Amino acid sequence: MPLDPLSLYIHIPFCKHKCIYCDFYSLPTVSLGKNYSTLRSQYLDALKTELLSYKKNLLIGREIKSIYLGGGTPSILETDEIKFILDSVRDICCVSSSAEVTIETNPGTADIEKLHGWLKTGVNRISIGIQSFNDDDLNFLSRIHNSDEASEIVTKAADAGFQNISIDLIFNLPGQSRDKWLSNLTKAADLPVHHISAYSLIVEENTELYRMVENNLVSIAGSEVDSDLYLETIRFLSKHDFVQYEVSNFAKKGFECVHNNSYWNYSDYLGLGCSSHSFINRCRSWNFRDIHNYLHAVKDTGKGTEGSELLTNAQQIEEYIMLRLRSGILDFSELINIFGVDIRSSLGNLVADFQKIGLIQPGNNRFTLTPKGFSLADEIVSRILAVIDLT
Amino acid sequence: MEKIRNFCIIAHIDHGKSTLADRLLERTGAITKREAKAQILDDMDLERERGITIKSHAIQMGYKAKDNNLYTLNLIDTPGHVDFSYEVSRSLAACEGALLVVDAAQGVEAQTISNLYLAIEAGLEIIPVVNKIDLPSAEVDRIKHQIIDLIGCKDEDIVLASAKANIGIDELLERIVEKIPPPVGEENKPLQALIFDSVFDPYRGAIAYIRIVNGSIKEKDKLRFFAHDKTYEAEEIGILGLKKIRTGSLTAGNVGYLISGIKDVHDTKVGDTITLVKGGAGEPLHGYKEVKPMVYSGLYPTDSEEFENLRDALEKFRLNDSALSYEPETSAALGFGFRCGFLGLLHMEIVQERLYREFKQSIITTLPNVEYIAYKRNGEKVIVDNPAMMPNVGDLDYIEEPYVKAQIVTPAEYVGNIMKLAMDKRGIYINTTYLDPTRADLQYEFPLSEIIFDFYDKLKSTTRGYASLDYEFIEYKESDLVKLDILLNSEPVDALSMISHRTKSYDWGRKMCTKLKDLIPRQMFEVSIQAAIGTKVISKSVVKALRKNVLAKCYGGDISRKRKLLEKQKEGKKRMKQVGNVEIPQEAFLAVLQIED
Repeated sequence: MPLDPLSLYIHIPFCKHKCIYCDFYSLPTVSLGKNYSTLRSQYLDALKTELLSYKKNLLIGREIKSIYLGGGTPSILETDEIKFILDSVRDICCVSSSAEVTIETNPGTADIEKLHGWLKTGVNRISIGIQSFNDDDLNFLSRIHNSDEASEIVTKAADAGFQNISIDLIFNLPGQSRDKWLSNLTKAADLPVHHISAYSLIVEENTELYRMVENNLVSIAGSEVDSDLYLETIRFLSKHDFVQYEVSNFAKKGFECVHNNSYWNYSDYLGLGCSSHSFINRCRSWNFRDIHNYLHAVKDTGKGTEGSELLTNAQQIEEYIMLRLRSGILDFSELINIFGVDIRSSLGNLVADFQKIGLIQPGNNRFTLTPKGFSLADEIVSRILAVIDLT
Repeated sequence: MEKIRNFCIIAHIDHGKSTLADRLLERTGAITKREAKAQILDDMDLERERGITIKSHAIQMGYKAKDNNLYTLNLIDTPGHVDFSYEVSRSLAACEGALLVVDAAQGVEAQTISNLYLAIEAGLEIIPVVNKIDLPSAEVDRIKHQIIDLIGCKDEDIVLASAKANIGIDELLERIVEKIPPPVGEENKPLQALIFDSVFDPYRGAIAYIRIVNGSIKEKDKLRFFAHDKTYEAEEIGILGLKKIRTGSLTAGNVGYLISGIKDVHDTKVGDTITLVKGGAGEPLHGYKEVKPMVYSGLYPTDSEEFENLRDALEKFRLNDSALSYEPETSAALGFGFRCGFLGLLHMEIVQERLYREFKQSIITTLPNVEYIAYKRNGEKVIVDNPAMMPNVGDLDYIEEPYVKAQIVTPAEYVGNIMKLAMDKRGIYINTTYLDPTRADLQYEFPLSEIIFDFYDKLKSTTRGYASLDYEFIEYKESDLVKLDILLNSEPVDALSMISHRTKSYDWGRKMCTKLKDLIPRQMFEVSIQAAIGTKVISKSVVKALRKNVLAKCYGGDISRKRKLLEKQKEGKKRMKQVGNVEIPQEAFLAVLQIED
């Protein structure tokens, strides 16, 4: 029996500028000064070394079904560097001919030339960090692009030949009215966009935004407004033929992100580069977050792994329920087939209660989340986990 | 017997009783300085922390007096808190004399007075001692006058001492020998031994501390206890030094211990009389009574799976504490637990804390209540020690509640504050007497229920800590009481019900609704909170429905982090108690205990 195909994540930890809300690991290139180019080439070499270290066992006989260049800002790299990465992957792994190959792009770091170049290297999906089509919002978020550049990059990508374009948008920004948000969505729907990730603004610790909120320089609207905007988003996008396939992800039919679906569908993925995460054979592992620690680790051991945890059966079941519900569905027969557990009896009246208040739609051996249910997905999951006994 | 002196020390908390006791023990050679550590007599950690003696003990000293005779001095320790006044009275009954110790700076306190009266009633010879005379703030003359007014002694009868600085100790020992009469009693009469205390030893069972009033007792004697029908054989008898000293027998007038294979302290009840099976006394000593709980509360394990362990812990606990009573009960909100009876709130806190410290039991307690008597229209009488047992409004004729007589001793300047507090607490004013121009002794009657909550704290804060309180049960009186229920989404939460005076119920209901609104987290649906008397809703509040609880982003494959967040949420939910479909955090049950009335 052939092994399940694998998804590959590659982290590029460089940015022109650190945005106030972002807590992904990245280094602003300005701060690196002269060291930037040396560090960059060391890093790219390390990525290749790390991948090679997996060749002998993990990668044998396993097809790669998706490659995702995330960041940071992968689009900050030169095209031949992208080519170097993807060529290395193709050299070392068996990449499926239909593999989805995504690059995360910041509108301020991409131009026509790069777009054409990426296509030539085999990139076939572009995920653009638009965040907003409104200059006030973009200023607030400290993005390096403006609203015109935001819409231009989408058109240019389509013109260059990208047939699978995704954009990120953020809602519940300070002062963002319902109308202002809807105009963002309208703009998105008018552009040649196939996939939208619409996130509610999260104030993460260790970000500039967090400090601003702590010092009362910014106030973020509460869960009422957040929830209204979220439900509005679901309603609007579904009207425009975007199907919600995860809490924050919406796609035209057939454009669901193969790579992201690996996360929600509990399939294996390998992460390369600093701060990346892997999930292989029910074992979760993570690489060093700091680039220097990562480089050292790769030099010493060939891998960048900082730690790992082998999941217990109970943890696997809990994760499975949580991840499937992020995709808005819980299928009890799947749980029986994969883990041999039937949780229905221990749920008691819970499912009926969820249904009564309009959070779910029951089906045959399964239920799906309504928009209101998506908005309370974590509540639903934790209530389910609290009543089922997996010990 | 002529050379025995049995005495105790009456003192307010912190007036130096324990230090003085240590000093007497040191001077007579019963202990060395090193052994004295701090305060030998209080050997439970908890007691030491709280500065109060909960369990009384006794210790024997040999003292060679100036008349060249060797005397046996038995110092019998007494509990210092109002919750334990019966135990105090039994300790007093084992003595012929008492040292009245008063702090030279603080003066006479209510507790001192009430225990003093008990001692005088018991016919004890009182030796007044002003302690801490070396303090810069000492007002020796003023305190002397207080004492003279109080007991009508002469100036020269008062011993001036400082236990800390070792002043006046010799004089005090001489005074004890001189003034305190030797025990009366006859060795030839049938045995009558008074149990003035008992403790539980995990290896030896119940150990009774006894005073031989008449007759004598020796090992192998077959013993009869008047409070129950069981007989036991005396296994070991001795006197109490710093450790037990086995002597094999005890005769009239002396004090010592008895071990007789009794498995728990319920068969060695304080106040009971021991005699011999053969040729024993026909009558017990005067003054035994069954100690009854005054305050009741539900004790529930925070984790419902701990129920059996809590039962074990209570069972063990009761071996050592005959005043604690418990019965299993069930609450719709809190599951399986116990309704426990305590002597008072302090006793309740001690039990709770010891359950936690010694038995690792984490528990939720429900609002404490007193025992009410409800009379139904059909003439039936219902004892209500749990609000859930209160008959329906329609069936009720009237309700009676226990009243206490309270004595508050305070600097005169706070009399106004105390009268206001007493009014808030439904106090009935009886009388005021002045101990001296600066110190008043106020007498009140209060419903016990008003005293058990925060009265003592309030009294302390309104008098900057200067007033002291003592009370005792007098009788049941009819009151306009109501049962106040708390409903969540129309479901009553039994563990939050309480019995309150009608005039106070509205305020209480409003405070409960406000507090619960803050403590109950938003849930998937709106939660309505109502306070109701019968079917009449008197106050309400609402916890709005939770609108959003979902993490927008599940980071680039970092599922571990997300899982840990959810595990936290899950654990939070597991700790919640469920009533109907509403989840109530445990803090909500605990917080109602802190609502101020």
